[in-house]
Amino acid sequence: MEQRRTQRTERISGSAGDVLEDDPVGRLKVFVYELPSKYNKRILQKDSRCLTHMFAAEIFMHRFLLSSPVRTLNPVEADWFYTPVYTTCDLTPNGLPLPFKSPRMMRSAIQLISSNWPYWNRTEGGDHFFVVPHDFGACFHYQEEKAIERGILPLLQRATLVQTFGQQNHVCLKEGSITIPPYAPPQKMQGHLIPEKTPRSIFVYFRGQLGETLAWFEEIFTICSLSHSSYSTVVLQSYGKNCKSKGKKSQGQIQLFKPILTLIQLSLLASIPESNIVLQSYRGARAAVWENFKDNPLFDISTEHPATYYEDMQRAVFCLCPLGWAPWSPRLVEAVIFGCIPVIIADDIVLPFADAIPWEEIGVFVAEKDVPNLDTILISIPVDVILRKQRLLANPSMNQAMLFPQPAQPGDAFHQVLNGLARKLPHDKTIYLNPGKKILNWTAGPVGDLKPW
Amino acid sequence: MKFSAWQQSYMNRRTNSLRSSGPLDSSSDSSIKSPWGIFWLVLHGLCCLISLVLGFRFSRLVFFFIFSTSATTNLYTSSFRTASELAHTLTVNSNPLNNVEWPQENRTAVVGGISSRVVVGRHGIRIRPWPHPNPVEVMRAHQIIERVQREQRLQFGVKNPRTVIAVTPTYVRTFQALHLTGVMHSLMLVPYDVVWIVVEAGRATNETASILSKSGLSIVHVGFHQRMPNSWEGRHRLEARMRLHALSIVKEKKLDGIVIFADDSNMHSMELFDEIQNVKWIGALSVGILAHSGDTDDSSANIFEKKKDEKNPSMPVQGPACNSSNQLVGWHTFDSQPFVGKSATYIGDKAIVLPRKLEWAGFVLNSQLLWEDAEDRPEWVKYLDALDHIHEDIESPLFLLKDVSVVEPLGSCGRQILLWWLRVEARADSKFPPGSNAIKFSFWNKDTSISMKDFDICLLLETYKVANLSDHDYLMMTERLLAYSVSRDYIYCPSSVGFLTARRVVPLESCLIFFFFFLFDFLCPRSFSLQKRLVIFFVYISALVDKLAVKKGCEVEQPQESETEGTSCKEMGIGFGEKVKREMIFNIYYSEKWIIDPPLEITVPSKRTPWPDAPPELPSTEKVVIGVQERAVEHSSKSRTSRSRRSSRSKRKRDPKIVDTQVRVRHSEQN
Repeated sequence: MEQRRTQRTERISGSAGDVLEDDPVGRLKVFVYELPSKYNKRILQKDSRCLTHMFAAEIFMHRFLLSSPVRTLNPVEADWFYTPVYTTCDLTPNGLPLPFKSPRMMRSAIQLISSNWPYWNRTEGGDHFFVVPHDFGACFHYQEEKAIERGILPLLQRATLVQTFGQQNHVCLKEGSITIPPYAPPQKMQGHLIPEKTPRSIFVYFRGQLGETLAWFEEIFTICSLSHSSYSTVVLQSYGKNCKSKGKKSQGQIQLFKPILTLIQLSLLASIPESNIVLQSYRGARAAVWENFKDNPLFDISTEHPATYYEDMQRAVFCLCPLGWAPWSPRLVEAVIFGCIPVIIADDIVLPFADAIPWEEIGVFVAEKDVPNLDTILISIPVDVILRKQRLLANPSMNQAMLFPQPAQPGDAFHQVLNGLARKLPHDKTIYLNPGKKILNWTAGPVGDLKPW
Repeated sequence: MKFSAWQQSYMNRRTNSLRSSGPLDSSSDSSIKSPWGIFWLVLHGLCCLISLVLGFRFSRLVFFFIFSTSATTNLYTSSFRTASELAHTLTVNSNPLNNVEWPQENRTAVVGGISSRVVVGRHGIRIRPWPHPNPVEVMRAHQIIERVQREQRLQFGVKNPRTVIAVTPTYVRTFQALHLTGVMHSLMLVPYDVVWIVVEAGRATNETASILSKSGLSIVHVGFHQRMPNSWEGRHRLEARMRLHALSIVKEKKLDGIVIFADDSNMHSMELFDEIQNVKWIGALSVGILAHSGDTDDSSANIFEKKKDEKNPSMPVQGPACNSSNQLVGWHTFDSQPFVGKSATYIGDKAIVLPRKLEWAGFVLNSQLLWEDAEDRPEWVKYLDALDHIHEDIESPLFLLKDVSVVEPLGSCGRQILLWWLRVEARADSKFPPGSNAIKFSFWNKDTSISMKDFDICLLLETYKVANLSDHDYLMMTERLLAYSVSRDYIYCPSSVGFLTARRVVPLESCLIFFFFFLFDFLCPRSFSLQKRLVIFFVYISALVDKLAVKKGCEVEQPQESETEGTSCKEMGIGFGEKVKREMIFNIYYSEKWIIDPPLEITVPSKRTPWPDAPPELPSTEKVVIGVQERAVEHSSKSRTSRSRRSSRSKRKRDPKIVDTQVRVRHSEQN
């Protein structure tokens, strides 16, 4: 994003600018476990789509650490231990990352490191960190209710989790976790930059699922269960993010089949008694946005995903980031990169690197219940505040912190993760267990998770 | 069928009230005479009734439910069983996690009665009772946008912007208000200082002054001693002399800035005004030529139709021609060859109005070129006074130069079209209804009549729509115009082509869609007084009648009456027929997104942007001396934006036009 830096930007001293520009090198040392390639590389070989979806951070984090100066080959001097296991890279043929096998895989990996190295047993994970970028982090389920029911994988209860999911007082966010931005392809976004002088003429912009009833029918029928009927029930429930990734590409073809599909799917749906599950995917905020503002001239909102999505964001003043399936979405990253003030509609959300980035000053937070007054809320923000938010957004360190560029650049999200880990040092003495003491219960959790991977 | 009868009587009243005098009753008589016309009226009336009953939102639901129930019942007999079985087995086998009880509180939140199955979220879907935006807030939002844009301009825009000196020759005529207001609004949106020199043929009249006075720009309004002749040839010539007169004013007053030749009835992209800031001495721009006839069903329309059929319609472009290294190598001029004998001679003729070889509008000058004693005045400029006694036709500002090679090509070396040339005139003897140029519907009382201001806005929106400027410009204009008038709730355009919803002008395809929209607006703003709502209703009806009248009343029924055709329906509505408009929209729509690659060699009589699907070579009919390879390149950001705009325009997913849009999208993507 270097060429953009002619702009007048602003930084908040003592906060955003300074902390974000910290250099983690020298402040911590990370030991990367050598795992058999079946835990990481081979999974990736099987399905390279993992490199582009929004959970790709786990892969790039691994790659980054391997070549990072903070890496140490001597585990004795390490402050942190990293286990490179790609738990979300287990895609269905549709490309949906459904984490059914993730708990077993994670368990297997931990078993391996605990038997091959002494360091896990020393702390039972107290100085280990794991990257779990799935919807609900280490809860390993794509549905919130199921995720809550499962809770964080018992074996990870003492470890530090690096995850995209963040919501206060939520079972799936434990204290001390580091919230990271979802992965958004940096090169692709860079390719869509338009001149900064292009006037921002859209007041509010949003593209994505809106949970409109009719749109919902179409979406479900067409996108999710077209070719893989065996997944239809699963997919029906997981309508939301999981379908979306596929839907973007195939919408064109789907138009043609729509009438037939609708017939089939309607009957299918009518026969599933608990089909109302589907509609729970969004907590109502998006549907409320749609219902209240679909005809409002200030709101450019739609379910269509145009080719100019990135360009349009650069023409907008506010970009909506309402919660979807999970409270977070890549929109936040896109909005920040494109200088569009993010309007975050997700109660209790914990945003990426919240300890380093003053989100309150950058974005606009609207309570889910206040969505009907969204226009009034946005309009009543003083212009000077808006301009200041824009200047803060234009701060290069802000943009950098949201991206996982290849190769890594100073101040990018990798470095922010390391900064976050460094700030947790030195470790509390209490994490070190007396030899022979066990806290973790290796047999806890659903029976299905205990099966070998 | 009371309704349609009422419509008919309404139509009669309307036509009567709109016609100035003379052949009054021909249309009312003829519309009754023709069974075809009655049939259409009845059919449309029927459609309207049906849609009235269904209503906009209601109908959507009804349609859905009818569709869904029929679907399920049909499938019950055949495939439904298997489908359901499949689903059940799947539920049981594939995913044991399915059987979980869903939290009870979720079941309670039910969306406003749409379906009992729709269970959403913590808060349910909260819908406010009054969905419409508060006008004051809309204004405020526009202020915010404006401020944000101003800040952007401060940071990234032209640093020391020069004054824009716009030169406009004009004269009092039927469409003066239409054209002049359009240009005026463009100039009003220019973010730089503007001096507007308006030269009026004959003398400076009050009519013109009253239009200009609304602009708030600094205006020099002068008369010119000659009257505007009736022929196009004469008009072009006189206009050239009027422009020279304006230049002499620039010279005398030593106005400093950039002179542009903003003819009324030209359309300007807002980007133009940024682009011309780059000019050092004299710059040239590409001008999109909208050559069309003043009427709907003559040969010119057929020419365009034919081209569409051949998949090779094109919009002529005149302006600078560059080589691959962005050096000016010549000019694309208008090739009038195909139009020999078909072009209009007199203003208001039913034939194609042709531009000059190079229009003045395609040039911008640094005003210091004209000063007598500017310090660094280049040598290659002639003195303006020296040209006074030249009586031959002065075709373009190039006459000022001793050496043409100094011209700076602007707009990505002429590849970008930033303005359009269009001449649409009513017959010289036509007039808007006497008394005023405001259209008033006499049977409404004073308070409810549509004022000229609203009508103006409608006209402007029409013009903008026709011009289909850049999408951003269009939106900015419409929305600013809307902001002006937002205090009056909504504007309803009684034009025959479109009407304005809260956001934009929606093409009026059929009575059915039309009434759906109408009902949507009619049912929703319940705070309007009954009277006001009725007025809106009437306006819609009038638009409908307009449409019918244009379609049926005039074209079909009065072909032979040469006496009355001049004042027939064309003057009733906005002035140019539907077909012409569509043609223009069509042309502009396609031309806007294509920029022209530089030709390798010069000596091009005319340049045409080929149809997106056409192969990259020039069509063989084109007269090209040396192989000029022209290739249409998609102007990425521009066209894409408008694309997305278009798609967002069809936010309502059930709009049947979507298919059409997609086809077009595919067209452009193939390139």
